[in-house]
Amino acid sequence: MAGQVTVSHVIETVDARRRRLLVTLLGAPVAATLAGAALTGCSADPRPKAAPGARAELDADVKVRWSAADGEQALLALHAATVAAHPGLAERLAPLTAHHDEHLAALRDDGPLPFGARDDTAPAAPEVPADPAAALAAVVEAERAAGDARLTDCLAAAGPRLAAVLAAIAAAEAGHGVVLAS
Amino acid sequence: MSTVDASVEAAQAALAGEHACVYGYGVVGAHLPDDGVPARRALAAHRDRREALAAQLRAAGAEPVAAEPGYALPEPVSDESGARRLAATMEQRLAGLYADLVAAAATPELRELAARGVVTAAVDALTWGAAPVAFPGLDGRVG
Repeated sequence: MAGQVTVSHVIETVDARRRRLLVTLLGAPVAATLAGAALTGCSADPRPKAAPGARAELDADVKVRWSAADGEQALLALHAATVAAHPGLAERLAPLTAHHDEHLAALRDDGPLPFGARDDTAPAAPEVPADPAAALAAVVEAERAAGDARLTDCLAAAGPRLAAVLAAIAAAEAGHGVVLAS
Repeated sequence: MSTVDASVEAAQAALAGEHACVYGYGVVGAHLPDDGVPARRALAAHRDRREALAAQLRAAGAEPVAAEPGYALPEPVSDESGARRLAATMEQRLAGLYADLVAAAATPELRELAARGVVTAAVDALTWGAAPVAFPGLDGRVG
């Protein structure tokens, strides 16, 4: 049909746009910038920043990453405690636990978090209900709450790359809640 | 490209994705049992977000892109499982477009619309049968 475009055409066009956006927004492909990007990488942030404001935004994003990383650590601790108490849940939780490991790594790869000692500080062991179904429900609730919190973090983030990562983490955690509840 | 131009371009891309989804869910619904209620619900949600994106674009002084007259599907859909695959694929791709918009959005309102778009699309992809991933909308681009 004349004028017909395919979904893949739309997607290809969009992929080209995405590549261009990545280049213009991030200065280089994401993977290449991840390792060293965070603090210095903010120079690739397209939002114009006056010198004094830039420092403030940077500090704000460090706090956002710190709070998000804290949340990931708490979820990892909850997963570990839940599996320790209910080995039968291990298989279901394992792939989702791996996601949280990736989330934490991405948040840390963005640059050093303040108070490096926190990295070694295990959060207090979370309480796990004795009933497996209740334990699973507690994980579902924690995932949903974390997803909401990361969405809030996303809206607070100054840097575009951090915002996109936080939106993806929020989406993953909302999805965990759905997968575990089904 | 200015910040505003990048924002408008990403919003237009997300809107084009929503147009494609509105078309695609018509196909999906036709192949689902129970009168395709979940597809009709999805269709309504995509129409709402299409309107929200168009409103944001107009507020930015841009003319929202129109739907294409037709869309060819990534693969022919002839049964329920094919319909579910199409829906999952559309939502995964849409999550990517919204993730781009999160990064490019020039206003807090547009950032929030985009972030909620990533979350909704990712969750919907799962309900249509996609496997959970660590970074919906960004997979392959983080880490």
